Amino acid sequence: MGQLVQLTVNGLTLGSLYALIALGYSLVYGVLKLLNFAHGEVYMIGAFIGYGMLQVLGGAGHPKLPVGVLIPVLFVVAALGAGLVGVGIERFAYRPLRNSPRIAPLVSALGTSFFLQATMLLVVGARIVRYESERLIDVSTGIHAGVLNISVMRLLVIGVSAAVMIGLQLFMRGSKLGKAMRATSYDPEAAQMMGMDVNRVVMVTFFIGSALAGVAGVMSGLVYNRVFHTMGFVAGLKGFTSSVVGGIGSIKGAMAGGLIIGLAESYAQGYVSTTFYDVVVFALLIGFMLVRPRGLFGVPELKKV
Amino acid sequence: MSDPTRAGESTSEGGDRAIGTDEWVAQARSRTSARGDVRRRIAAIPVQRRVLGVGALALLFALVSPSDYTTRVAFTVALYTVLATGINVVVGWSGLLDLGYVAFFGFGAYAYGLLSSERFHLHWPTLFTIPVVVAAAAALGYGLGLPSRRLSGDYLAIVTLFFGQIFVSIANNGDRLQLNVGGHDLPSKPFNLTGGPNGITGIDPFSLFGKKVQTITGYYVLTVIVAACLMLLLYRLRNARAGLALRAMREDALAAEILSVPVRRLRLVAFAIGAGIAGLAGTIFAAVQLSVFGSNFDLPFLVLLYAAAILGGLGNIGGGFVGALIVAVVPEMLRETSTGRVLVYGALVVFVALRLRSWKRLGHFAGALVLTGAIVRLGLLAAGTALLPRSGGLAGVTGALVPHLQRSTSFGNTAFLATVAGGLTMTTLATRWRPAIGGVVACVGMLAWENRLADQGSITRQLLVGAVLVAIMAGRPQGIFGTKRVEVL
Repeated sequence: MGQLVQLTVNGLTLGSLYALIALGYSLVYGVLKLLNFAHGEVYMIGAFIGYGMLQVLGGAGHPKLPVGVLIPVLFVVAALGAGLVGVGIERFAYRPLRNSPRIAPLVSALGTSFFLQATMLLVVGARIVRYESERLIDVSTGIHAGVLNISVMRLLVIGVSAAVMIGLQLFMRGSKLGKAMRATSYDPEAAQMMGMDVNRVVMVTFFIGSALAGVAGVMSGLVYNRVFHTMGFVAGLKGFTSSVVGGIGSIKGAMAGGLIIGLAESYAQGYVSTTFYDVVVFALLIGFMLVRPRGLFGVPELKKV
Repeated sequence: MSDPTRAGESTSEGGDRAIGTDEWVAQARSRTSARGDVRRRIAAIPVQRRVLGVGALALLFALVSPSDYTTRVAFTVALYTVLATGINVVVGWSGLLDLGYVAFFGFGAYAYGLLSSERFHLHWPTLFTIPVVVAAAAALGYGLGLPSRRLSGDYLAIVTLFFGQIFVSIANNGDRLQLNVGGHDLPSKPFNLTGGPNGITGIDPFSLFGKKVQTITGYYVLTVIVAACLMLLLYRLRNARAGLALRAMREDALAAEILSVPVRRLRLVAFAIGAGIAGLAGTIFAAVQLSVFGSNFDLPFLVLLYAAAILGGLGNIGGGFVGALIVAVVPEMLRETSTGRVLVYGALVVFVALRLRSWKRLGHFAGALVLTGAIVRLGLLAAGTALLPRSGGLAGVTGALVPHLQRSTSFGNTAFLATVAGGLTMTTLATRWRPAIGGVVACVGMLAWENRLADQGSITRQLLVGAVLVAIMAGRPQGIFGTKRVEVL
C-alpha cells in the first residue's frame, strides 16, 4: 500500500512535467501541423537557464532572495528565456520551410535539436549540474501522514503545473489571442482572411509552448536535481507520447496524457522493471496508435481532397 | 495538402522558388551554369557504367592506399554509402521519415554478433547467417511499420525514434533481463542477452568460401562490391513499376491510392527494404569491429547518416556516395588541428567563391572583410589591453590580429554564440547588406574556431551536422547534386 501511494505521488510529479512538455507539442501541432522535435532541447535549455539564474542569485547555498521569491523568479526567467529560444527556432528553422514538403521541417527540426544539444555541450560541458534544491527547501518538509510522504518540492511541481494549465485553458478560451490561436488551428486560411496575422499567432504559440517547456525544465531541476545536455531527448519523447495518448492538438488531452504516461512510467518502475520502464511507455504508445489513433481527446483527422 | 498558413509567407528566403513555372524554365540556371555543364556531362554516362566506374576506382584505392588508416576511412565511406542508400529508399523515395533506422543497423550487428560468437557458443556459417539476419531485420521493420500504417508520417517518425531509443536501452541493459511480475522475478536469474555496457566481444570475422576475411582491405573490397550491387539493383527497382509507385506515393499518397497504388503495403515494403539494407550493413560492421556496443547505435549516428543522405540529395541513389564521402572524410580532417585549419579556411573561400556571381560583389566582400577585420582588431586590442592577462597567446589568425589575447574557453564560447547569432541575423537581412555582415560574422567565426572549436573535434562535428541539416533544408533541399523538384500549380 505504502509503495502504491508513493509511486502514485512520483507518477503525478513526473506526469505534471510531461504534461507541460506535451502542451508545447500540442499547441504547435494544433496551429502548424508540425512536430517540433527540438522541443525537448528547449526544455533542457530552460533547465540550464534556471540553473544559471540560481547561480547568479547566489546559488542554493546562500540565496540572495528569500526562497519564496527566488523560485518564482527562476520559473519566470526560464520561461522567458526558453520562450525566446522557441521563437528563434520557429523563425530560423521552420518558417523558411512552410511551403516545403512535410518531411523538410522534420529533418530541419532534427538538425536543430542536434545543434542545440552540441551548443550546450560546448558551452556548459558534459557534466551534470545540480540545483542542490535540498539546500533551498529541506527534503523532510512536506506532508507526512501515515504511508503518505509528499515533499514540498513535489507539491510545488504538481501545484504549479496545475495552475499553469488552468491559466492556459482560460487564456485559450477567453483572450483575443487565444481565440486567434484556436481559429488559426481550425482553419488557417480563413483566419488569415479575417485579418489575423498568422505569423504572429504562430510566434505566440511557439513562445507559450516553449515557455511551458522552460518551466518544466526548472521543475525537473528542482525535483530531480540533475541537469545535463542530453536530458531533453528522452523527456521530449515522453512529452510527445503524452500528447499522442491524450490526443495531439488538444490541451485537455496533453494534461491527461502527461499524467497517464507519468503514472504508467512510475508504476512500471515499481512493479515491472527498473531498467525497462521505457518499453512499457512505448507499448502504451503503440497500443494507443492501434486502438485509438486520435488519442483520448483528439478529433479524428479529416482528409480533404 | 495545401496549408494556407504557408500561403501568406513571403518567399524572400528562397527567392528562386519555382512555383508556377515549368520544369524547363525552373532548371534553366542549373543547365546553363558551369556546374550544370559538368552535371550534364556526367548524366550522359549510363548509370551502370557510372556505378561500375566509381566502384572500380574505389577498388583501385585499396591497392594504392598508403596505410591501414586510410583504408579504414575508405571503408567507413563505403559502409556509410550502403547505409545512406537504405535511407534513400525509405526517406527519399517513399517519403517516410524512419528515425529508427540506426536501430536496424544495430539489430543486424547484434544479431550477427549473437549468432557468431562465444556468447551462446554459436558459430553459424557466414553465408547462412547474413541472409537470416537481413531477413529478420526486414521482418522487424515490417512489424514496426504496422502500427503506424494508418497514420501520417509524423507519427511514424516518432514511433521509429522511440524504437531506436528502446533498442539502445535494451542493448545497454540487456545483460540482466528480468521482469518483476507480481513480486516474482521472471526468470529467477537475470538473463544476459546483449552483454549490457560491455557489449558482445570476440565476434567471428566473415568467413567466405572457406577463407576468413581478416584485413580491413578485405572488408573494404567487400563493402564496395555490396554497395555497387545494391545501387545497380536499386536503379532497376527505381524504374520498375514498384519504384514508380513508391515515388507516386511520396508525391501524393492520396492521389496514388486513388490510382490504385497499394499505398499501405508499399509503405511497409519500403520500410522493410530499408531495414534489410541497414541489417546487412550491421553484419559487416560487427565483423569489422569484432565487437558491438549499444552506444554505437545512438542518435548522433542516425543524424550523421541523415546528413549524408540529404547532402547527397534525397532520392538520388548516387548521392548517397557523395554524402557518405563528405560526412566520413570531413570529421577525419577535423581530428587534426592542422588539416582542420586547411579545411575550414578552404571551405570559407569556396563558400565565398560560390556565392559570388560578379567581381563587383567580390569587391564589396573584400572591402567589408578588411574593414571589419580592422575594426575587430582595434576593438580587441583595446579590450585585450584592458581586460585580459598577457601570458599565453591565441592561435592562428586571432593570434596575429591580437598578439596578447589569452586563449580562453569562455572567449571562444562567446565568439561561437556571436557567430550563430550573427549568421542567423544575416539570413533576415536584405541581400545587399549580407556581404558586410557576412564579413563580420566570418571574422568572429574564425575567432571561435581558433579558440574553441578547433580543439573540440567531436562537438564541432555535431554542430556542423546539425547546422548542415537545417541550412540544407532551408536553402537547398535537393542536396548538393540533386535537381530541383518543381511544384506545378
